[in-house]
Amino acid sequence: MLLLVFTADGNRYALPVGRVREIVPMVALRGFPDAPPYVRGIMNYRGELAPVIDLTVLLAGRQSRRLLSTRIIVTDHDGADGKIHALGLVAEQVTDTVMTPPEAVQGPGIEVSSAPYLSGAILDRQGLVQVVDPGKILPQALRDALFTAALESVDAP
Amino acid sequence: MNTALDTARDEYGCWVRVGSYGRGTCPQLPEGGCRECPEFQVKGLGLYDREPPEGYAREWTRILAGEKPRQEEVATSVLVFRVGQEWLALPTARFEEIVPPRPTHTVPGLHSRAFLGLVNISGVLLPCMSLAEILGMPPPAPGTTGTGGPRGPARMAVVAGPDGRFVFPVDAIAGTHRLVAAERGQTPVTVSRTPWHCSSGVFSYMGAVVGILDEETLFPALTRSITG
Repeated sequence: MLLLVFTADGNRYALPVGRVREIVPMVALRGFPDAPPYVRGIMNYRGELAPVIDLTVLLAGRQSRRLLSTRIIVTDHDGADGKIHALGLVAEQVTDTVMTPPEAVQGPGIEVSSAPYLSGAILDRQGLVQVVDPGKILPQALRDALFTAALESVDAP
Repeated sequence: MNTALDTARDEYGCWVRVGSYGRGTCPQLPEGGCRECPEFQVKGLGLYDREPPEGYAREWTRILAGEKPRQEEVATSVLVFRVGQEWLALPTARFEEIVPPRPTHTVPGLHSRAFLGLVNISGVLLPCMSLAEILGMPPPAPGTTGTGGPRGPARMAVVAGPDGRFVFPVDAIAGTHRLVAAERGQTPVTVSRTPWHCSSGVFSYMGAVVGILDEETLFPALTRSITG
């Protein structure tokens, strides 16, 4: 399986490319008042409003820096309405991929309830890469809230 | 010669000099190319760790708000280059290597206007051909350059055909282009100054009209031009 590699706080993480639609540069986002810090805003992704989540906030506790290597990974996201939505994930140093057999992904051996999106890890020449499950990045309750809010902002004049 | 290019290469690093983005002579070159090399992963990919230029985010905000450009399934990647005043294209897969200009060794007793001599490519002597002669282009008027379109430094292109490999000098290389069927136009009949022996149509690329070379006739023509 092919995984997209990015870093947060010097650690490498990988995202399976199966649900990745496109990797795009950081764009101007419409801010989201009162949203958690990891919600960077919404983007107009090819006519579809997509919430943008900052993975660096989730994994390293700070926002992604403004660099060319900071990119938005546009993924398919199963919405609460049963439809597939575009979800943008901001990450740093999105510049590499790694190919690994699926059986090489090892379980983490520990379940951390605060980070259910860390689904396992692989080892390559440069060391350990943690695999992120994009489907588990947001708590269900927040996902619903996010898409509801996005719809409201469309109706606003 | 090529001082600007050499400076650029020193700035960027080994992968464009001896790595898989250059000559490929690095003794530590991994099987999968430079992307697997720690040196490249730190220094090469590190080039992206700089601030985006002014207006970059605005430009991309605009691009992403629009439709995603459809990639047509049936597309051929072609390399666009200039010989004399003509922009030409040949499938990228036919190109083995693009090298800086190097000396051509003439062969006593074997010379024609189309056969320029032999060129040393990685220790192998390959025939160097004049595309302008083979295609029957008029000799360039003195002091003129290409008819619009992008520019670049002169290079030698190494191509592989069914009967062997050839080298031909080019005056500039514009880059590669995904050519789809809809872009192809017929060679205008009014363009009578070029007989276009080996042309299979034209397309427009960055403001220039590019002639598509037909492999089926080009490679036999190259072979014929050496043997007689």
